[in-house]
Amino acid sequence: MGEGTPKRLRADAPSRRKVLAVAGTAAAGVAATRLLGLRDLSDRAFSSALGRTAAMALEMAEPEMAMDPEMAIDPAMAMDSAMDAEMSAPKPAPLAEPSSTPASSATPRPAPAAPRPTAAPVKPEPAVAPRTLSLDWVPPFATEAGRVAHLLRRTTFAPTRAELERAQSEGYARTLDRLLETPPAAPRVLTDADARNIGTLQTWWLEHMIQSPTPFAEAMTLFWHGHFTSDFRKVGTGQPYLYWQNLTWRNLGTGDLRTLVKQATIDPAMLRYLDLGISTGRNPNENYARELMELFTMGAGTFTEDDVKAASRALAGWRLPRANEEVRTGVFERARAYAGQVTFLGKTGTLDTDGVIDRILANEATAPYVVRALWTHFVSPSPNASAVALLASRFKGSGYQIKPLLRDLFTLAEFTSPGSYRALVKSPTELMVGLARLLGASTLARPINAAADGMGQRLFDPPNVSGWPQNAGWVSANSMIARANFVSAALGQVRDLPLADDAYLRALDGVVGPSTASILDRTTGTRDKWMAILSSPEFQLK
Amino acid sequence: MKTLIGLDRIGRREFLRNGLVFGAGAAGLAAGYAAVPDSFARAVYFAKRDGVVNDRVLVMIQLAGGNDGLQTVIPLQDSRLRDLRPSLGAVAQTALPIGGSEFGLSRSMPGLKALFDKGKVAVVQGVGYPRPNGSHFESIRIWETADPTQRQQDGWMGETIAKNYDSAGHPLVGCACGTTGLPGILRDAEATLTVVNDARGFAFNGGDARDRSIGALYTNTPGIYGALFDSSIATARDTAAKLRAGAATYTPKAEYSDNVRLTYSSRNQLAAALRLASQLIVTGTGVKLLHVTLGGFDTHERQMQRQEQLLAYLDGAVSAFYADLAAHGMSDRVMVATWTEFGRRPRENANQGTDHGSATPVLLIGDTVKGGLYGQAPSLSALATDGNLKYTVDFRSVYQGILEEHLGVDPLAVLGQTFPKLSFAKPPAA
Repeated sequence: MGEGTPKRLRADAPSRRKVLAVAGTAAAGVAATRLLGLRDLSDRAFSSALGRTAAMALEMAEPEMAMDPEMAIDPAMAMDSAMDAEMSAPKPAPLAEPSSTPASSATPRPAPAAPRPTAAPVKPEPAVAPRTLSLDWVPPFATEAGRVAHLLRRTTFAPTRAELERAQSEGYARTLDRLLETPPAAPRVLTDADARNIGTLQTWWLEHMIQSPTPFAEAMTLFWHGHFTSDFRKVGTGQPYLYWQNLTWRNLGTGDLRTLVKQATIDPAMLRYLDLGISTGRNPNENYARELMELFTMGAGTFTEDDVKAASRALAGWRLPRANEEVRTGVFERARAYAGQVTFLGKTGTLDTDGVIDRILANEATAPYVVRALWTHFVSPSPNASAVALLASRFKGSGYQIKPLLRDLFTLAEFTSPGSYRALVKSPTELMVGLARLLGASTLARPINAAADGMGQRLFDPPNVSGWPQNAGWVSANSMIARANFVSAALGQVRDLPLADDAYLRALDGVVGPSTASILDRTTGTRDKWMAILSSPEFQLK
Repeated sequence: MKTLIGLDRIGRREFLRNGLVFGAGAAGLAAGYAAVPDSFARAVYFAKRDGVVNDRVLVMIQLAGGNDGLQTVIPLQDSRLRDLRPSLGAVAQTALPIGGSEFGLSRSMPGLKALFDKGKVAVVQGVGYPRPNGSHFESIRIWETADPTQRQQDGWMGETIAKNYDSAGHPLVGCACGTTGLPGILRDAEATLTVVNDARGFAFNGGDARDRSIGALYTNTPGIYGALFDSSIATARDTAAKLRAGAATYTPKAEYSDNVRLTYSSRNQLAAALRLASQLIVTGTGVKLLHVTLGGFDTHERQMQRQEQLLAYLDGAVSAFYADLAAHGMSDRVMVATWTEFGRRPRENANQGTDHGSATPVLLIGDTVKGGLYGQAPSLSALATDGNLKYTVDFRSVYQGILEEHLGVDPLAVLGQTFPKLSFAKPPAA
């Protein structure tokens, strides 16, 4: 028997294509939740992702749907509403029809080649039968206000009331322009001692995330922090290296990838974190060379072990700056570098750090890898392969300019397609900073920092060099308790809570599930309403 | 952003499968499956399958970052070690010999040396897989899914649970301790698992009312994450209740200490995680498979000191765990096993560290272990062309031995094929 014989056959794609969707309406009482209808999806006009998801649910559940008897069902009206939504779906993309491809890349797992060779697996019988129906959210993308709210939620943690109102009066295009074109507001300058205190550094950044007039710059800084990771455990706090690194991500985060990768490579925190600062041409250390390709630029499986060895030689020569050298980068010493030729990514020649980066940027794997990284962070968990290819080619063609790539992502039809709505789980930082911004509570940086560990995301302390998990990786019994308890603690600390009467509109788009709707309907009092809204599953999603 | 193993790689379709099954657990909990009778409050209760009626428990400890085998189980008489490792090779002089004079444990592991001498430790040498993968994350995934071809999504511990135990109704059958997220090794589309970072604070603040209202808020949640959310909340409520009940009856009978000095990159919570594991075992929660992690083994520089600190920490925590279980009369059912994504390169680098390697030893500890040396130490004279060790034991042989002989379940159902047998465990009583 061959090695790695598949253990389990997966079910084939479902054949039934019906979806049942539910949405809470924004009008007159949250509990006016109603079913929007059964849609035949065989024409694929409806969102492919949504369709697949719900169709799968029905496939497994069979058609006798256990409806909540309290829900009013009006199939005719529901159909109309869904059609309306479809007809007026946003089409802001200047790009060449990437959305028309039905997300064929969504589940690229290779199909197992042969059935499992042993006796049939014992199917665990759940104590109670599986739930018979899976509902999906109906996105508010039919209106520009809904699309603008989505854009702000994805790019600013969560908008303050003023930001939301301004953006909705300006419209999607102008809001996006402003997000992309406004230079980052600089955070407070830290003293050397503060910059070397990890707790101070963490709360300093959290405060800035909450209060900055340019929260998108902070979202991007957080993205690059998770991408080009470094942690204080290895970097240490003897020097303000992580403070410098944080400023670098903010300053260069929407510039060009070449500059960013070069700065990441010679960043003192990185030189220490992945050992490039102690690597020499005679005795190269492979740590940085490997992760530069695997995690930062090209992705696993796109290079060989020999490429790692070659790059580790070619990159060597950097050391940490000394106290009397007034630079915030590594210092190159020719005597430490490698003088000979290397064969790297298929070409042989002498190569320095810039040469390594040039060759990586010339590699066909790089642009798609970075596009996918940004896509899964800002758009949806399953990038559309053809759209990725298109964006990657535009990205590479622009000389790897990041800002135009972000503009492409946020104007892509997929960004405001039903399959992207609530398709991403907020990271703990996004959740907590968003909460503080919604509540206008600038004093929550410390409680946020205290709660971060229990949810799995302490700043400057990623779990490993690949950064933090995403989406379902944030959801566990443990993290859900931590999330709920943070909400209680935060609400206990905020003095003047904003009124909660319309909070489910501002915080949850007015799109709420039946349980949340029913609880909100029964809840009185500002604090209790906020408690339900901020603890809700809806608020965990971005 | 990058995906670590497992969860993030689920496409939407797989995710939904996953979600629906999670949902079953949620529904089960929400419907109030309620009290498991005390007399059944042991693992036996959860066995789904004829023949799986034992009280065995497995604790896997991940040594994350790639643990150097040559500084863990040290060849004492091979002069090549000193040639390859001018500085690090010195560990041979201070090693604690085991099973003769050929091999020794690092001097930082006196506790495991003592357990080895009592026949409680099995050392399997040369463990790896064909065509070693030098990426931390890919190799972790390979070890997690027991699949060098990287086609499997489910972790082998998760799959063991799905195939053998009723986790939907009883999510505490599998638990990750000392972490906030579910590790890939426990993930399975058809299993419900729990995660406890710290037993203190594992409850919804605000008492029963808040606990109930959170449960109501997370009922029939729509969307692709709905079922996962609901089952996570239901699992949290269930686990919190069990921990609350257990905390009153459990007193550790050994000293667990996380107060150790580590140079970098570890969270220093291994001992607390094992203490929690002990509480879950001793208080009869029905836990069967547990996972804990100690990070920091990616020793590209100054390895000697760093790894010795880590091994000493591991040694102290595992020794306390064993002593605690023994004092509670529970050590006869628990096996501890270590795993790591790869060993490190035999030749040291210029920073007194080592780069990514391949084969590495696995340590198995407990009363159910038949102590001794297993497998074959890879030769230092016949390295692979990349300068790494050639593995001698497929890592799935180790899993097979654990599954078949310690847990008493069908290994074929989990591993999909049969591997050369290693008999390092005593089977459960029939």
